[in-house]
Parts: sequence; structure tokens; C-alpha cells
Amino acid sequence: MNLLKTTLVIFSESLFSLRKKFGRFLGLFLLSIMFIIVFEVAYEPSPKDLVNFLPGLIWVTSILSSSIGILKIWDDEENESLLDFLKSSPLDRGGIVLGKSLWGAFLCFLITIATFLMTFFFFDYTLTAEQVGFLLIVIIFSSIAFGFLGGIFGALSLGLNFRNILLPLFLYPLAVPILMSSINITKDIIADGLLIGNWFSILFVYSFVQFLLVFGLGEKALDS
Amino acid sequence: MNNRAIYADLISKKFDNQYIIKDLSFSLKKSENALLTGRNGIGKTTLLRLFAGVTRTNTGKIEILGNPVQDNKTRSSIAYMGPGDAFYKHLSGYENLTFFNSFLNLRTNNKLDDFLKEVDLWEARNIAVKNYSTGMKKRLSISVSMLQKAQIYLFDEPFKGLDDYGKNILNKYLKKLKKENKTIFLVSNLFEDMDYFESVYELVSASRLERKR
Repeated sequence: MNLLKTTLVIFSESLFSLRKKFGRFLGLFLLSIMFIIVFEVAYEPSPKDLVNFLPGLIWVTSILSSSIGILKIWDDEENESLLDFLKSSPLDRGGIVLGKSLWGAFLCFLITIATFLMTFFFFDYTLTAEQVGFLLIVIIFSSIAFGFLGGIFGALSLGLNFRNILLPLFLYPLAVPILMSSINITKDIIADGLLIGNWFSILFVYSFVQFLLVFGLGEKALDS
Repeated sequence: MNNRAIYADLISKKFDNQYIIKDLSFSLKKSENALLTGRNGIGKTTLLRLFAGVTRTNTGKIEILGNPVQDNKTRSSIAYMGPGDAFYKHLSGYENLTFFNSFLNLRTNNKLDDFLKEVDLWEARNIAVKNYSTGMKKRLSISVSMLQKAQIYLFDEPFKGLDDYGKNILNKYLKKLKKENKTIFLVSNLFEDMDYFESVYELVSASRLERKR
């Protein structure tokens, strides 16, 4: 089975499983909402401060919530027998990692969108259609970067002792460029309505590198 | 014409700098039914995982029907049933079977129903696999194996955890495969009916695989 078909098979299984694991997914949303409410109650920033305050709050919240989801995307395959079976099947091994990474990116996308909506709702902040469009682009790129980062490191760490500790230790430092660039781009969009700049280039290159890593190392990651 | 189903040439596999398999050569003819025995921890499961393409050799090569085992196409001719439960535990038996069917052989749903009835899991088809008993999971593994239209069937301790009823189901399935001239390589220390197999091998050490019969 080729890479694309395998990717679709694995992605659709994850999507189907979401129905069964909806409680976990709902928990991530609730965690995001809790963060936002705590900050809203504790700080009550002035409308002027919101431009500096909101991007940081949104991205730290969504990266934290997403990371909990991302760290779980390989949970089923931690069962060595299942992984062995998938590896012995005609599925393309690179496609398995790509499908999981894509699922991770999709999960990040959903959580980030929800975080954005909740934040703007609780802080009563309105955006123009152009700003919404720009924000969507940033969310897509950061979701790819973070989802693919989690996908490849999740695959690399399968079967390792202390995986639950090691994975966040690797993941969080590597997520810093995504976090910093996303915060700064969001700030530019909210304040000036600008998308293109140095931070956007960093995010674009970083997402592209993660994408290439999954393509290039996916099969080897599972073999290791 | 190449008549070999499995061919291993001087293969070695080591974990933590210790050889589990070392410079071992082996071949199995097409349609041959073979049993592999050996004491616990000698490397039978590792050998089977190498033949299934699950793990790579450190040195040497393995060919399945004349092609490298690591090719995706080659792997479609292998049906591997490992010793553990290879399922998505939050999904039901039927959902697991449907998922595996989506990349194994695309059988019709009617056929899936038949497989579940054959292993007596029809009544339990909508229960999550995490709530299945050991024997039920093993029977579900048999139905996943049935799903595959492979040439070579690799079984690792398939009788473990099965009661007499489950053993009968598996024996019936093995006989069916034999009748269809499939190549069978089965690892077990529990198999009682040795006459079923044309050949019996014993893994004596990391580098010695002896034909007993």
C-alpha cells in the first residue's frame, strides 16, 4: 500500500477513534477554557493591554493543551504487538508516521481554534475578516509544525524506557520556536493587521522542516 | 524456478550487544508446514519477527518468495500472528476487523460477519476489545489472520490462552490453510499433534536450527 493510502487509513482510524476517546478530547478543551477564565478573572487587562496580553495567553494555552493530546497520539501503538502487526502488514511505514503526524496536526488545529474562539469570547475582542483569515494561516502552520514534531518524536520514542518523561523533555524545548513565532505573528496581526514578517518566515521554515523530517525519517523512526 | 517460501542467509540479530540470532541460515519450501520449537528465551519469537519483516537483521538477508522481506509488496504475502493482542483496545471486535480489512484485503462486510461467526465472536462483536477475555482476544486474532489472503502464515504461540473450544477453532483453521497449500511456520511448545507438520525444527542456540523431523 502506498504512502498516501496508508496515511489516509491511519488518519481515518484516529478520526474514528476520536468518537471513543471524546472524553479525553473534551478534557483538553476544558483545560484551555480553564486557563482563559483564570487569566480573565485574575488580570482584567485594559483594552490597550490586550494586544500584548492575548497572543501570549492564547498560544501558551493552546500549546499546553495540544501537547497533552500530542503526547497521546501513539498510545495505542505503544502496545508492541499492535505495532508489530502494523509493521508486518503491507502498510507503508512512512505513511503510518505521516498519518499519525497529520492527526496530531489536526488535533492541534482544533484545540487552537477553540482556544482562539474562547479567548475572544471571554475578553470580548472583535476581529476583522482579514485578521481572521491571517490568523487561520498562522494556526495551520503552527499546527503542522507542532503536530509533525509530536508525530516524529512520538514514533522515535516508541518502546523507550521512561518514554512518558523523555517525550515532553524533547518536545517542549523544540516547540519554543513555534510558540515564539506564533505569539509574535498573532501580535502583529491583532495590532497592525500584518502577517508577513521575519517571524512568519521562521514559522514557515520550521513547519516545512518538520514536514520534511516526517517524510525523510518516518520509516526509519518506526524501524528504530 | 525458485521454490523457496522463506530463505534466510547467514542472518544475525542482536539486542544490547548480545546475539539472539547469529549467522543462521534457513529455508522453507512453498506449501511446507513447519513447527519451530525450542526452550524459552532462545530466540524463536525474534526469528519469526525477522521473517515477518517486523524487525531488521543486523547482518544477512531474508527473502520471502524470492523478494526482500522489507518490501511493502512482499509483506502482503505474509500473514503474521504475534504472541500478544494486536488490537485497538477501545474499539470493538467488529471495528477492529473493519479497520484491518481496510488495508489487508478489502473483503466485503458479509465476509467479516462470517469470520466473526467462525471464531464464535458474533455475539460479542460490539463489545470493546479491552473487555474481552484472553481466549476471546486470541480468537479475534485468528479472525484477523483469516482476513488475509497471504501465501505464508507465521504463527507465534497461537494456542497460548485458548481453551479446548478455541483450540478446535484454530486446528480447523490450520487444516483449512494446509488444504489450500499455504506455507505455515508455527512457533509453539504447546502443539500436541506433531503429525500435522511435515517438518519440525528446533532452535537449539543462536546459531543452530536443527531439523528434528
